[in-house]
Amino acid sequence: MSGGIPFHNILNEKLYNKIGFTSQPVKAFYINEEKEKIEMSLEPIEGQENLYQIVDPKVNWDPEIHNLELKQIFEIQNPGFLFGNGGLVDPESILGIAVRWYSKESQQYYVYPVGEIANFDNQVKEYKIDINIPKGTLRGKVTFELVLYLKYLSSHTTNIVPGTILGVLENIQILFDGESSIFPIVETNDPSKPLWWVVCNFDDPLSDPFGDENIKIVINSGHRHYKNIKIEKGIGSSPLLVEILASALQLIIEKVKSTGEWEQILRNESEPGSIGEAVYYFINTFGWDYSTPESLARSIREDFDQRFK
Amino acid sequence: MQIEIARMERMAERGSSLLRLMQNSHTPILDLLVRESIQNSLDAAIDPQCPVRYDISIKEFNKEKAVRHFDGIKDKLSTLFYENKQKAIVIRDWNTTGLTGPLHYKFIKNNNFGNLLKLVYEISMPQEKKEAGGSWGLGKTIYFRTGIGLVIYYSRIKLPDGSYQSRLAACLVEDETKEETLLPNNQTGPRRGIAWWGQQFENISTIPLTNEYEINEILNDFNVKPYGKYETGTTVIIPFINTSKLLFQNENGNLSWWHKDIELYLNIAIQRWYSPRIDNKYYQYGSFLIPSVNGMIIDNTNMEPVFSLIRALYIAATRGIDFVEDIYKNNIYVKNIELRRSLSDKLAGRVAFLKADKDTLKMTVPHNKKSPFDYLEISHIAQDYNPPIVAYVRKPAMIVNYETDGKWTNGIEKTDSNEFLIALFVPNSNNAVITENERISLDEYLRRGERADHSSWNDLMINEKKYTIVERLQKNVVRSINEVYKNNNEEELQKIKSTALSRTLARELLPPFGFGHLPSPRKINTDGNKVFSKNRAKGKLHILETKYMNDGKAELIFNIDIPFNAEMLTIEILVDSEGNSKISGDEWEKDDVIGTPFPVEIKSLMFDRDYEGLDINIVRTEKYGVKNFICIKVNDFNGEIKGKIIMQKNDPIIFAYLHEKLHFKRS
Repeated sequence: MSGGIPFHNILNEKLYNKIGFTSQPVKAFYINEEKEKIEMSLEPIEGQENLYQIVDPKVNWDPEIHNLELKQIFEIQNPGFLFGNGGLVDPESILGIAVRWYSKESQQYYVYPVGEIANFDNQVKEYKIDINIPKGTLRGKVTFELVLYLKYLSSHTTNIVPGTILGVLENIQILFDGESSIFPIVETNDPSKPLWWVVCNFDDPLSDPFGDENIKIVINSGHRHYKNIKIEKGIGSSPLLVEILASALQLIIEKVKSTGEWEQILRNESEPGSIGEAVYYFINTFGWDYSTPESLARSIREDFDQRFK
Repeated sequence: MQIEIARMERMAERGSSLLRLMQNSHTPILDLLVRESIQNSLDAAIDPQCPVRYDISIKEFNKEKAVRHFDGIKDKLSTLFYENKQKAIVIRDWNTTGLTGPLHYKFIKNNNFGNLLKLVYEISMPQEKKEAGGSWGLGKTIYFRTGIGLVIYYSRIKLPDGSYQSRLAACLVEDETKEETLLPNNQTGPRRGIAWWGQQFENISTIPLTNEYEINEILNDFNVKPYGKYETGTTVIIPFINTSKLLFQNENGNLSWWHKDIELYLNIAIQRWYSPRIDNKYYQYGSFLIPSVNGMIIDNTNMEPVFSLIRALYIAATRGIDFVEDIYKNNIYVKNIELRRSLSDKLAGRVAFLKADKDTLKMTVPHNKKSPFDYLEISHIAQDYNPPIVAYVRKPAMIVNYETDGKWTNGIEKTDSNEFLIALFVPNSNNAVITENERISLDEYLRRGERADHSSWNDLMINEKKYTIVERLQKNVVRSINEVYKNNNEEELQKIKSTALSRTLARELLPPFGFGHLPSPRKINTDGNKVFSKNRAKGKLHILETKYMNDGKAELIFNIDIPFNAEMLTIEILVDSEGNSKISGDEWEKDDVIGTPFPVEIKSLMFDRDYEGLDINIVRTEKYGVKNFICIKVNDFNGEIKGKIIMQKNDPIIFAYLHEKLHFKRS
């Protein structure tokens, strides 16, 4: 299917270049438990074009718990080209600009009007986007688009109806969860239990997924030392957490090593997403020295000192 | 009978080494004898529809009458055993083929030894039948270890010509290094401690007796009845047994009632190892078993409760819980055991299990049955809890072993002393193990990994690749049982997921995709996502430019890259209909759909140049003749074509689509 046949003009590359659209980077914020407004960064996901994830320096933001505020400034230098001959609509119609976002995974579709453009304001137009997306709505891969649509119809136009989308000025995709990797770490709250422990529930490291149903690091927020895990600026700002991770990963690797599958894991014969593949990735990508328990302990920490600065 | 003393040969076994072979110190001799002999009988079944009859009896015989048949050792036997009344174990089967095959090595064709030579004259000849009960051919050494090493084999078979033949031979295996041996010591040079009896064959050898009269005389002296005229089967006579020595004593001397009598012991031993196949008409891999001891048949009505229960577990695992008797039905669970790799079908087998209380096991008044640990001869001293019992079988449905500690049970919670957790794992035997160049069934894999005494399963190396099927089965069985019984208290607390931390750690320590999600991950293809995509897939219609002309017409400039081997390209206009479906022109014009002329029409179609070989047609709708379908015969053209379509829409509300399709040559 080649898509719809527009019986109206749409924003093509030629027209897009003429109108002079420019935009600044999208900014993301949330309000944390201490009522502070925290700015987060949008970081491109390696190897994926136009796909970003939101990174909180305090490692706290959760789209299920916190609202997300997105801000962006953009301008259109020559909006006049959008009207009349060679434009999208006749000079008497009025265009709207909106942000729309949608995702298959969360089955959501929202439109936020941003502003409008009429033929008479043929000068540089600056717009500010400030939208607040409620918690619990963002899941998976979400597409954000800045669109032009027909807002008010003049009497000369009969072929389109108001609301018709006439072009996309910009789009980005943000990955909230869904298909990005998740590290199997969970929290519990039980003052009677230690600060952390590891649960290994797998039968077959070659095929059992590296997920919290088979393997997990449990952090106990009920423990009196939990406050020492506090993260201020990335993982590296909590030496205790780094030390827990190093110990836990060593333990997991030693456990996997003790199964009968170690040779196959080293030959990377594990299934995608399995515990074996994760371990293979750790020791090969990070160069951890698994030859003895003490060399493994040391090399993980050497690596972490660099990784979590 | 004529004696034939085995000569010294290179690489030949000696009596002492045979008796040491397959030393299984942890299983009592009578249990090994029962396991081996029933297995031999079941493997020789004639008709899978017909149960195999097996009997094991203790018979008395007159020493003087019996010893006269054994040339060469008569006097020694006579002096060695003072009492005239002696006892023999007689194992007999019916509905079996008997000891068929050539009578002597001279008659072997195509390396086909046959049952007779393998059982009586050979050692470590493995079964040819795949997935047979036995595998190493060593099991029969148990016959020699049961008595004094003397074993008489009597069989009646049906010959290929339809006639019947009886066969009888004897074999002695003794430790040739002992000072007092039965075999004469007059040979110079080394001795082997092995001899056979039968009729003379070519001066230096013997073959089994086949003369009915002679055979009947010997049978009569051992108090054994000959087979009927049309019966076939095998009878093994193990004379000069010491019943009190065979009834082993366990360490604490606390003996159950069946330790006081060899026949009672045999009865329990048969149930202990074969309960899944006894009196089980649901058994699906061949004949079921009707065993008896001294003629007293064991069936489901007189089996001990724990064995009847294990039989029920087998039926539940193989046929389903509905086939199980009501008394067990409600408590039994059956869980599929699946392995995600290594097998062609992920179903590796099923585990059936239950927690049985003392009433179910009839351990209470008035029955006062013993505990399962006693019946299974598992030492269990602790009073306040019971360890789980996990048993496992292969196709032959002989219990390979009962485990209460180790990999089959590690992690399963103990029950309190009033309850017994009993589980049976049954593999999906016909499932295939995926190997590089050999096709073996799961049952065959498990058989190869059994030791010669068939008392446990071990994983194999195949083509220098180590497999871990057994290890994974064990963990999976443990997990399946735990899922049913284990308290989830510990897990309940861990509800708070640390999403932000998980995600951040994933970003730092894992590749961007593919970890932490079920089902198995797939790669995301974002194909650019630029506002204006330059992506040009072959065979797809690309709209390069659209222009709206104010009279309701739209002009589309398109290109399409026609691949090699295409035959025809069609481009059709469809319009949106309710519920996200799209309808075609002919459909639209039907009276019961819309019934008006199709609202979008192709006004013209032009190409940027003359493409040689293209045969272009514009097709109209059937009813109102609206041009809505382009058909381009490709005729060996391949490469890019570019053109322009002008279309008119006569209804502002509808939304139209272009749908292109490539048709390829059949070859």
